[in-house]
Amino acid sequence: MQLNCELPYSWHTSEWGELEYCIPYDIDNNGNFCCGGYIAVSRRCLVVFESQQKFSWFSLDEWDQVSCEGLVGVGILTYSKKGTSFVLCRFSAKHLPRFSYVAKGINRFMTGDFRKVISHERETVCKKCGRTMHDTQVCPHCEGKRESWKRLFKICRPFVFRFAVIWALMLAAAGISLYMQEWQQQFIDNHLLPAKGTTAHIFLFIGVMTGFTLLAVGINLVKRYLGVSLGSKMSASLRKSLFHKIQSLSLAYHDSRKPGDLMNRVVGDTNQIRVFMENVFTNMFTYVITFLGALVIMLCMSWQLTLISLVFVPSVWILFRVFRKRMRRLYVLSRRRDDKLNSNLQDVLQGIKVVKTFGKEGYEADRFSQSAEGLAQVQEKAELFWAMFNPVIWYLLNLGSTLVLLAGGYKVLQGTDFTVGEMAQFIGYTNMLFGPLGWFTNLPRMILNLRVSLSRIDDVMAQDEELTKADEPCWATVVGEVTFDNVHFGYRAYESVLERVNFTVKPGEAIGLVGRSGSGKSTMINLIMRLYDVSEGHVLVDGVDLRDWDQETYHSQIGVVLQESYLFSGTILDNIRFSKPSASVTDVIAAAKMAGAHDFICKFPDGYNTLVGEKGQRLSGGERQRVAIARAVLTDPKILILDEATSSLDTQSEFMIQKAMERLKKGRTSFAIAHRLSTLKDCDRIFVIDDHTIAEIGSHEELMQRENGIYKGLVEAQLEMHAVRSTDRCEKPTT
Amino acid sequence: MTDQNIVKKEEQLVGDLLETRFLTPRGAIFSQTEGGFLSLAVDGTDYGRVKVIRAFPFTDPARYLSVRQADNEEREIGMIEDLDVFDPDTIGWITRQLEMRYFVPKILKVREIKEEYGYSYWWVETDKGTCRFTCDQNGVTKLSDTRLLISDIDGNRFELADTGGLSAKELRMVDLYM
Ligand SMILES: Nc1ncnc2c1ncn2[C@@H]1O[C@H](COP(=O)(O)OP(=O)(O)O)[C@@H](O)[C@H]1O
Ligand SMILES: [Mg+2]
Repeated sequence: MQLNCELPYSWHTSEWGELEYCIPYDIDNNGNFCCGGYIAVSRRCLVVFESQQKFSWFSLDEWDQVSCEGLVGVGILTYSKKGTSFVLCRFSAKHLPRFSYVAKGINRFMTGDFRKVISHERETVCKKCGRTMHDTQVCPHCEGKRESWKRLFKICRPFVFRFAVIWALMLAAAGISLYMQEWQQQFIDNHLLPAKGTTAHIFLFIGVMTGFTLLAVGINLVKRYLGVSLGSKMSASLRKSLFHKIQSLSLAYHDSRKPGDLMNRVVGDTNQIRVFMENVFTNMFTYVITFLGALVIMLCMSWQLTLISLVFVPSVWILFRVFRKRMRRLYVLSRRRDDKLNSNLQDVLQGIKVVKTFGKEGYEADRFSQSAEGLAQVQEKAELFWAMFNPVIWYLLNLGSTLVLLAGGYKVLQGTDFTVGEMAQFIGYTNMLFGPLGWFTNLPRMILNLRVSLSRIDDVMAQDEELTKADEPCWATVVGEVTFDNVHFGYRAYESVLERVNFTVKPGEAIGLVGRSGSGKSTMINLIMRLYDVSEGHVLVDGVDLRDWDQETYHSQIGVVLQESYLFSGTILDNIRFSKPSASVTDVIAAAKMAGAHDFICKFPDGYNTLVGEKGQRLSGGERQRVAIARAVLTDPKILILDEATSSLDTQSEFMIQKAMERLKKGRTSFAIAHRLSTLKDCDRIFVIDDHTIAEIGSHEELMQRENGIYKGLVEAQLEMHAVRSTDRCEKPTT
Repeated sequence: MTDQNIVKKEEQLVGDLLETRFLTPRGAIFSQTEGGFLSLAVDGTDYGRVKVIRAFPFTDPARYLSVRQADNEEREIGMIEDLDVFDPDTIGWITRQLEMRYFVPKILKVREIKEEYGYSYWWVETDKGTCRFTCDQNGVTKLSDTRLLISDIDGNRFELADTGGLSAKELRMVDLYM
């Protein structure tokens, strides 16, 4: 993202210092849209330009802080001076990220830190044409065209042979339908008209025509089959590579996308390609060749008649063009209403419990019938439109044939060299000419659809995997030493979550992470798991930078349990084995025992084969967590990570899991985050995270001895709460 | 701290959370800061700069305003049930804050809506000036049968107060997204 735009006004470098940041704002003091407003910053000062003449100059020395506040549909840049805030400028939401970065940069300048803030976020608007690149890397219009054809070519390459066969079949189909007319003409002129033909001739004619028709049907069948199978094969291979790619993309990428969007790309967009191959590609050349062939032959036969027959082509073409918008509108409208109806339905069915408990069936029924009616209205309109449009078109087309009949008949009667057979042939070609017309008007839209899908697929495929792979990855066995060396990290470059984090954890040490919610505990763990890469500094495991570890090797040696554990649909056995499919049943049982899960699993009628997930047994929160723990320890991980693994559980289950955990932590490096601080008491060391960094380190006893320590404060607050609750509970019966 | 005290403290905390305190001209004294923001003192407690937030920005924009501290926690100080009971100065200051916070231009005229590559490109006249913006599939929310809220992909918002006031041509363009 550009933070140093070109300033259209003069800047006095000698007086104000080198220009460091320059960005536009678009809302003026009265709250109206404006253009030409710029904020320009040097190391010493900030200038708000309204225009060349009108600008305000500020010295950074006098300020305490600059901040960028995001409001509703608008943001403001403010500075504070002696505790009072002042507005510098206002801007619409699209400039918000830019201003956040610059505010961070200005604050750095004010503390004497002259490093420039660099934004790695990409621009979301195409510089050339202004179209959005919200979910694509390159502009779908300017760059995408070439790229998407290249991509299509690449996808097609493995199927070249099939393509060739389909091409040949298309040629054959076109040739046959063109030739059939020729043959018919010969029959009429040579056998029927002179009345010299015999019954044998008629049978021969019928036979040959039937033969041709059958051949054409056969060819079309094979062509269609090949097209369908080609489409499915292509979309399947695309789907596979997309899925592979999506899985290998970093979490940062997934954070920035809605899962539904990715799902649409894997399912919807690849399907679009299949549809194109099946319906469009296989017909395209047949139609083109038939159209051109018919036209050429007609011209050769009689250019005057050709012109007459074409009189209505422009009007049909124009009709299609004119009504295309309307057709499309109705089509889109009915599709959107249909979507809406579906999502309404889904909403109600998912919340059926709530609807029923509040007795709102009637209300929902009304709402549903409203949207159903909306859909019905649009569909009715669309059908009515087609019902009127189609006959008109057919009438026009037939009018063309009628004209040919008229002029041709006249010509035949005149007895010049135009025979009856030729006229029949000619009319046949006229019909061939009109057939594909309607289809051709749709072609641009179908190609556009294909290109949109291609560019959306291409976009995912072109993504860099943000986590780079090492050249010579480390495949070693993890021992368990974890070091943070001056780590800085933020999910977005302008918002740092962790700063200057330094520590070393010895193999086998048990660490507790403590801090307010939102302080960055989970973030630290995400870094240890290498779901994200650090912005600055290093995370080292056994002295090797995480970026130099082979990902799979490393991940297979750490075990993770999160607050909400996800179990895939399948059996409990499958779920535990997920981390190590090769594990023997005895290992699975041992892991389940360690996690305290064996007992309750055995009590299920289906034991380890109990199905979980949508269709299966509902596990309680505690049971679910214990299965997740078993899954985590099955691999005998050297580093164990527990992020609020027991926080959502009742005290009983937590106690059980806690017991299990104590056993598990032996001989492993462990990082645990817990709500209830008492559960971290036995950790070897506790890290307290505050204000983006580690504020306190020490064992429970050491930290409790610090006067005004953060940890001490937190523990006391929890004890108080606990005390209050228990006194409450004790007092109630007596009062 | 004795148990009694702790109980009291917790009860007060919970009480603060549950109780709605309404600010009236009698207890609450608003003033404008030097920088054009709003500050508030209630019954002698000075809160410094405060934020004003609409509880019902669409259905009741002038009533039920939540006044909150300007720090990160944004704790509620109280609610204004009806702005009209305050003196004109205060009304002016608070309105200014609201106008600063809520930037939702009203669409007066739809010049063009173009759909390309899955996004719709809007070109509209608003009460704040001409504007072009881009929406994705779910940009338009129906606030009522005739009132639309349009959110673009950057997080800007626009209001179309009454679709009945549009020309037939404009309505046809907008209708696709309703
Ligand atoms: N995936 C994410 N993208 C952007 N910001 C995030 C993401 N995850 C967490 N954050 C932000 O980072 C900060 C630290 O979050 P987290 O590490 O989850 O805190 P906690 O200590 O409660 O586990 C929070 O301000 C949170 O909003
Ligand atoms: Mg967390």
